[in-house]
Amino acid sequence: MKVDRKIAWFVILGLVTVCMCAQLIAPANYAKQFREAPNASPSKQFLLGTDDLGRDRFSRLLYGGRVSLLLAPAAALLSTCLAAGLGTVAGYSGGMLARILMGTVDLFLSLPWFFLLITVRATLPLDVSPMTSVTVTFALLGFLGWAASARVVYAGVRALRSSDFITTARSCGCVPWRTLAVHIMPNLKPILWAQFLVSIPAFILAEANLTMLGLGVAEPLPSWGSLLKELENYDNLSAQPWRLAPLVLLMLVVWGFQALLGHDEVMA
Amino acid sequence: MRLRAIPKSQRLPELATVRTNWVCILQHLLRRVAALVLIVLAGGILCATLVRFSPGFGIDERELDSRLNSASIAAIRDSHPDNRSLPNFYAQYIRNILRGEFGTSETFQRPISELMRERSNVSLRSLALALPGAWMLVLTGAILITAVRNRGLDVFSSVLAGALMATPAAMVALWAASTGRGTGIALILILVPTLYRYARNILERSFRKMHVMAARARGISTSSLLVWHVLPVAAPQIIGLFAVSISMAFGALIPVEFICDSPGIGQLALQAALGRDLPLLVTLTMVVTVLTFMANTAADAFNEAMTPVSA
Repeated sequence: MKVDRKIAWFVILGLVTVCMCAQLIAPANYAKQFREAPNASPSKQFLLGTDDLGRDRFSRLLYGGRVSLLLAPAAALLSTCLAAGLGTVAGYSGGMLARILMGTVDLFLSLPWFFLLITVRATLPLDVSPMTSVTVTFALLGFLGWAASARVVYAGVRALRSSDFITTARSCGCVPWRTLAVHIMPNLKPILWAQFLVSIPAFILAEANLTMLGLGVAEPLPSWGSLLKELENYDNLSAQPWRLAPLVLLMLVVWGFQALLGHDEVMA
Repeated sequence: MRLRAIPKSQRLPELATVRTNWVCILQHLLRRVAALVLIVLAGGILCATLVRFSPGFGIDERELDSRLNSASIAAIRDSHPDNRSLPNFYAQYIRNILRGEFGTSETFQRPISELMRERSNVSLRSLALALPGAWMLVLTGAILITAVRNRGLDVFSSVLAGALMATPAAMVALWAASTGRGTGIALILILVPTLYRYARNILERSFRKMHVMAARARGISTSSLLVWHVLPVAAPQIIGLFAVSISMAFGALIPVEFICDSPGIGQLALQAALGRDLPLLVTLTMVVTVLTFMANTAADAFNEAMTPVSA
């Protein structure tokens, strides 16, 4: 394993562990307000200071990380499953069904991603509870982010379908579902794993963008996107560099996932 | 014994009969045009559905007059042209779209086509600065890095591109707005890292091709290698990437124009989303899709025209 991949694994696993233990590590609840200390500077009590409403930034960062690091992989899993299902069916069946499915994929791919995302988000209620907003945001990412992966899976299945061992299995009387389950799916694992890893940073960034524009996770639930919204007041940033902590963490995580795959695999 | 004729599909292709396959290009273009018509129809039907079933559709203010009896209200409803049968409504809506009339925006209370004309000028100006600027930086950087082959420079550029790719577009827009850099610079900063990585990988792969390595071994200069052996091989993919960059640029317009307060179609789209003005939003998405689709088609056609096909 390359050194940068080892570092990436270390960074991601470390951050996931810390964020999952937010309830144990965080000094306060993410919504708790310290009204006597709004906009406080870092201190022993508030490691990253407090925001305008007197909420502890460090605690919000940990809870926000938990939301992003738990739900982005969940959305990536959803989109990878959709891609696996549709790509496999299209690739294995061939013919008219494959043409229809791949036509749908092409149509999906020609839609600009962010336009599609905000259009579908706008069709859903905007004034919802924080938990609903976070679920809707990540479910939407999962449901809309499958098209590119489906095309990759389709190509993989087509290649496998014409391979010698599949021809042998079929000539021996192996029924289609068994061929798919026993012979094709296990060989698709590396492709699916790569697509899963590619989707996670894309969804983390998409959530951050959506939330910064007011269409993502609703207050008071923190996510890295909602924490970045605080940077809208850019003027004081040089005097308060600790406010950049969510951006640094987000960049670290996205870099980590990109490094896990390596240049060539991401760009292939 | 009578010899069986070899079916046409099993015959070997004639070698060295290379020609520019205009029939293929035409077929490809026709397929793309059919897909484009499909997109417009699907988008039109979606727009029409959203308009037809939106709350308050087809309600006439006169219906609120308490002095009118139910027969009068029914007469008013029947006289309303939009309350005809659903197929007629869809047909009329699509006819209007083909004439360039997209209906009225609920948020702005103005015709959508008028809004789009106004806003697209601003966005096109930003794109006219950002796309050539980004591509100039990308090609210069990628050619320089792959030709010079300096490990330190390569690592530095990769780290820089990685850091920019890991920054949300909205954050870049925020920086541009706060420092007064404008939408063009923000768009360039969003586009360059992703395009650079793709372009660098394409050129790197072209440099690793056997014929390029053979040419290098024979002592051909780097500039000749680039001009005669690397760039012609990489050109189709670079042209394809250019088409993709148009779609990326439209996507980046939304956060950039909204945060930088630039009154273009990106800002219009987000205002429509926040105001749940679905007809405007779907129309915008459809128009942008058609534009990006046309760019992709043009790139594909250009590539096919450039690539010789064996008969």
